[in-house]
Amino acid sequence: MRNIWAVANNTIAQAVRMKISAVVILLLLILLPMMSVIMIGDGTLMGKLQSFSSYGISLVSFLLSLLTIAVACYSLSTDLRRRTLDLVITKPILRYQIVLGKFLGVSLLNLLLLAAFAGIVYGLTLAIPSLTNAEPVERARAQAEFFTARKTVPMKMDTESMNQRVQQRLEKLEKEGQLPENMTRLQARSVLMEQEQTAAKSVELAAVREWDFQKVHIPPDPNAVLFIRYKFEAVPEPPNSEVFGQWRIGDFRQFQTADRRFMTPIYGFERSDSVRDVHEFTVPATVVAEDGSVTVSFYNSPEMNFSTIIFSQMELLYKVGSFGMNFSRVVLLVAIRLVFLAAMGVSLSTWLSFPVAVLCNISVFFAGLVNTFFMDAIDGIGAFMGLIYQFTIKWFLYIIPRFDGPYSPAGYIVSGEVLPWLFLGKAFLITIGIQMTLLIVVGIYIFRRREIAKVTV
Amino acid sequence: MGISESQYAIETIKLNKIFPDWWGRARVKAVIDLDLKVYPNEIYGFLGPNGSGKTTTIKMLLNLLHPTRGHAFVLGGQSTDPAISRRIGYLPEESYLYRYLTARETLDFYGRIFGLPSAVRKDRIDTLLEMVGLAGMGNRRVGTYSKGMMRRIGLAQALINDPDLLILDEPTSGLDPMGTRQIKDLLVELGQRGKTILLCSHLLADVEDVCDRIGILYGGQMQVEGPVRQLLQHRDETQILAGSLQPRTLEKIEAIIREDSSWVEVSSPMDKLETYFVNIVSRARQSKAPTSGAEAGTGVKGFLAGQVREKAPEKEVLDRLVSASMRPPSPEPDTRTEKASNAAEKARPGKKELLDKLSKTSLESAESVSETTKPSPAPSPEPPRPVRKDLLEELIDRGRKSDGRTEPTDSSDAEGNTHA
Ligand SMILES: Nc1ncnc2c1ncn2[C@@H]1O[C@H](COP(=O)(O)OP(=O)(O)O)[C@@H](O)[C@H]1O
Ligand SMILES: [Mg+2]
Repeated sequence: MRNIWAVANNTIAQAVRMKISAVVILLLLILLPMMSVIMIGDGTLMGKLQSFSSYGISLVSFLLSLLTIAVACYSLSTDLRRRTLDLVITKPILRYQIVLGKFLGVSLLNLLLLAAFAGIVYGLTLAIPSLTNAEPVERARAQAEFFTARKTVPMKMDTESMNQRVQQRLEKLEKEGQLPENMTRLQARSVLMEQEQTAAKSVELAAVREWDFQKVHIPPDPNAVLFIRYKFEAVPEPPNSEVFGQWRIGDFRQFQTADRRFMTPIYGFERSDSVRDVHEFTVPATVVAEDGSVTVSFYNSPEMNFSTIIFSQMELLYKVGSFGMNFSRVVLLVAIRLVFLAAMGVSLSTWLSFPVAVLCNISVFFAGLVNTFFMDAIDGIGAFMGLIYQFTIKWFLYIIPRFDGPYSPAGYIVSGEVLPWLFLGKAFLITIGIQMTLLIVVGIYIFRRREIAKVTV
Repeated sequence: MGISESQYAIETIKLNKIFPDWWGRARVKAVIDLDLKVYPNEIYGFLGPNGSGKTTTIKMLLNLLHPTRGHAFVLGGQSTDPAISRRIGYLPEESYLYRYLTARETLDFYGRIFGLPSAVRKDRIDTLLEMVGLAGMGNRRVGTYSKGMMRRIGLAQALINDPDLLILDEPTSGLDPMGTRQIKDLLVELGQRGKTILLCSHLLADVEDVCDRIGILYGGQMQVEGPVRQLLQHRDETQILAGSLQPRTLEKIEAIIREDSSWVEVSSPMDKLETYFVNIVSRARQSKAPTSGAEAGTGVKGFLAGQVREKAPEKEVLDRLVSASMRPPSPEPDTRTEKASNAAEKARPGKKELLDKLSKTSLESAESVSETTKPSPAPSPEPPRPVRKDLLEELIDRGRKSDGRTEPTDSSDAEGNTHA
C-alpha cells in the first residue's frame, strides 16, 4: 500500500504539471461562472436553473473525462518511453503496485477536481435564485420542481394484454382476408399496435379514464404532497386550445367497501389546461392508501369539451429527498465514469503507446456517449440486419459502459428526478465491479509479463 | 542477513539475449553464453566497447529484459523479489529521473519505496545530497539540472537504501573530472565497507584504479576475465622502479640483471589498461568475433588515445585538489602541495563520517570481512596505493630470492632515498 501511495503521489505530481490539466481547470473556472450569468433557458427562473445546472454538470463531466483519458494514458506510457520506470521497477516494488498506483493517482486527482467543480456548479445553482428578481410564484415553482429530488411513477401500460388483443385482431383480419395487399404481416401488426397504444392513452368524450399507480411509498412527512404531471393533445383541436377536465385522486377501492368507511381522503379537482404543454398539480400525500396504491381519474365532460383527449404523458411524482442529496448522487454517477476511464487508460497504456491508447480510450468514451441510443436503434432495426448487428456492434456496445440515457447526469437534475440508489448501485457494480476490474486485471497481467526496457522503434 | 548465504553476488549461467526484429527474426545477438560471476565484497569492472552488451546484461540481471536463454541471479535470487531488490542500488546508463521532481523529492520518492521511515529518509537525503555535492540545489527540479548533476542525483538515488550490491552503468558518463574522481574515491570507500559493486564502463581509467577484478566483453562474449593486477602484469618481464639514478648505478644494475635475464631495457614501461583493452578488442576483431556493437576500426584506438592525452594533465591537478594523492609526492617537498594535501587529508574524515552515517556496517567489521573474503587485497584507504606498487612488491619478493640487492621501493622510501 505504501508503494501504491508513493506511485500515486508521483503520478499526481506529474499530472498537475501537464498542460491539459491547466487548460481544463482554467476553462472550467472561466466557463462555469460565465454560464451562470448568460444562460437563461426559457426565460423563467426554473428554465435558467435547469439549463445552467445541466449544462454545467455536463461540461464538468465531459472535460474531466477528457482530462482523465489524457492523464491516464500519458502517465504510464511516458514513464515507459522515458525509461523512468526502469529505475522505479528495480526498487522493492511489485509491478501490480505500479499499475494500481498510477490508477489510484489518476482517479484521485480527477475525483478531487470533480468534487471541486461540482461544488462550484452546486454553489452557483443555489445562488441563482437570489441573484435574479423572479416573481414569488416562479420561486415557489423552482423550489417545488427543481430544488428537490422526486421519484417518478410512470403511467403503466398493460403491454401484455395489448399484445394479445393485437394478435387476436391480426388473426381475425387474416382469416377474413382483409389484410391490405401492400402490407406485410409485420407492418400490419405495427399499425395495429399503434392504434392499440393510442386507444390506451385516449379518453373518448363522456368517458372516464383511470390510472392506477402502485408502490407509492412516500416518506413520512405531514406536509408531503403528490405531484401529478401530464401532457395531452386533443382531437379535434379545441378553439382556445384548452381542455377542461374533472379529476379525482385517491383510493377508489373504498367506494366498494360495505360500510363505506373512508380511511384515506379522495380529492376532486376541476381545471382547464392548454394542450401540448406539461402541467403539474399537487394533492396532499394522504390520498395514498396504506398499501401504496393510488388512482387518478379523468372525466372528459361532454358539457365542456367536444374532443377526444390523448394523454402522451401521465406520471405521479413525490419528493423523496433534497436537491443536494440528488446532486451528490449525480456527481457519484460521473465519478463512476471517471474512474472507469482512468482504469481503461492505465490498462491500455501498459502495452500501447500514448497516441494509440488515447485513441482507443476516446473511442470507447464516445461510443459510451451514444451507447443507449444505439442499442435502442439496433433493437428497432429489421430482422436480418438486426441479426448482423446483434453479433457485431451490439456485442461491442454491450461490453463497454454506457454514459448516455439514464447514465447521463444532466437529466436527473433538469427534471428534479431522484437518481435511485438501486440504479447507482447497478452502475457501480457493472462499470466498476466488472468492467473496470477486468481492465485492471488484464493491465496488470500484461504489465507483469512485458519487458520494461524493451525498445520498439 | 549477509551476502554470504550465496556463493556469488551476481551469477549468470549461459545467459543469452537476442533482440528480434519486428518480424520476430533474430536480429541482434547482444549477449552470448555469458557466465558472469561476481563475488561478494568485490568491485568488478565490467568492460567492453560500445554496444558490446554490458547494459543488456545489467538489464537482464535486473529483470528489465527477459533472457532469451540462460539464467541471471543477483544476491542468490531474482531481482523481482522485493527482499532482494531491497539490497540493490542501481544507476542506469542515463539518469532516468522524473524531471518534474526536485532532487529532494526524487530521493524521497525512492526512499519511500524502500520503506524508510521519514526521519531516516530526511537524514539520508541530506547526507547524500551533501555527498554528491548538490547540497545547495536540493530544491531545484531535476529537469533543470545538467547531465552531470543528474548523474550525481542518480548516484545518490542508488545509495539511498544503503545497498549491499551496487550496479553502476557507466557512472562517470557526463561527469566532470572532479565528479569522476569523487565517484572513484567513493567506490573504493564503499568497497571497504563490504559492498559488492558491478562497475560497468568503457572509460578504463575509472576502472583501473578501483576494481578488484575485471571482465572484458566484446560482441556479447566474455573475452577475458581476472584480477586487474594479474591481467596487466607482464609475466615474462620485470620492472624496477626507482628514483632517477646515476648512469654508473644504472650500468651496475644492468650488469647484475644480465646474469639472470637475456635482455634488459631501461625505460619506464607505461602499459596501462587502455593498451591492454585495445589489444583484446582488436584480437577479437581479427578472429572475426561477431559483435552487434560499434565496429570502430582504428577509431577506437584513436579515440581512446585522445581520451588519455586529454585526461592525464587534468588528473595530476585533481590529485592535488581532491584528496590524498595516488602518486608519491614530488621529491622536493613543495610547501604549497603539502598544504593542499593536508587540507585534503582533513577533508577526508568528514566524508568518511558521511559514509559512516549512510552505511550501517561499521568500518572495522567491514574491513575484517573484506580481508577474509576478498580474492585480492583491497586497496587501503590512506593513501590509496597505486596498482604499480603492488607490482613492485612482488618484484621485490622475487628480487630478494635471487640476490637481495634490490632495495624495497615505496613511495615514502623513494622520497627518503632522494633526501638521503
Ligand atoms: N531494445 C533493443 N532492440 C534491439 N537491439 C538492442 C536493444 N537494446 C540493445 N540492443 C543492441 O544490443 C547491443 C548491446 O547493447 P548494449 O548492451 O546497450 O551495449 P553497451 O555495452 O554499450 O551497454 C547493441 O548492438 C544494441 O544495438
Ligand atoms: Mg551501455
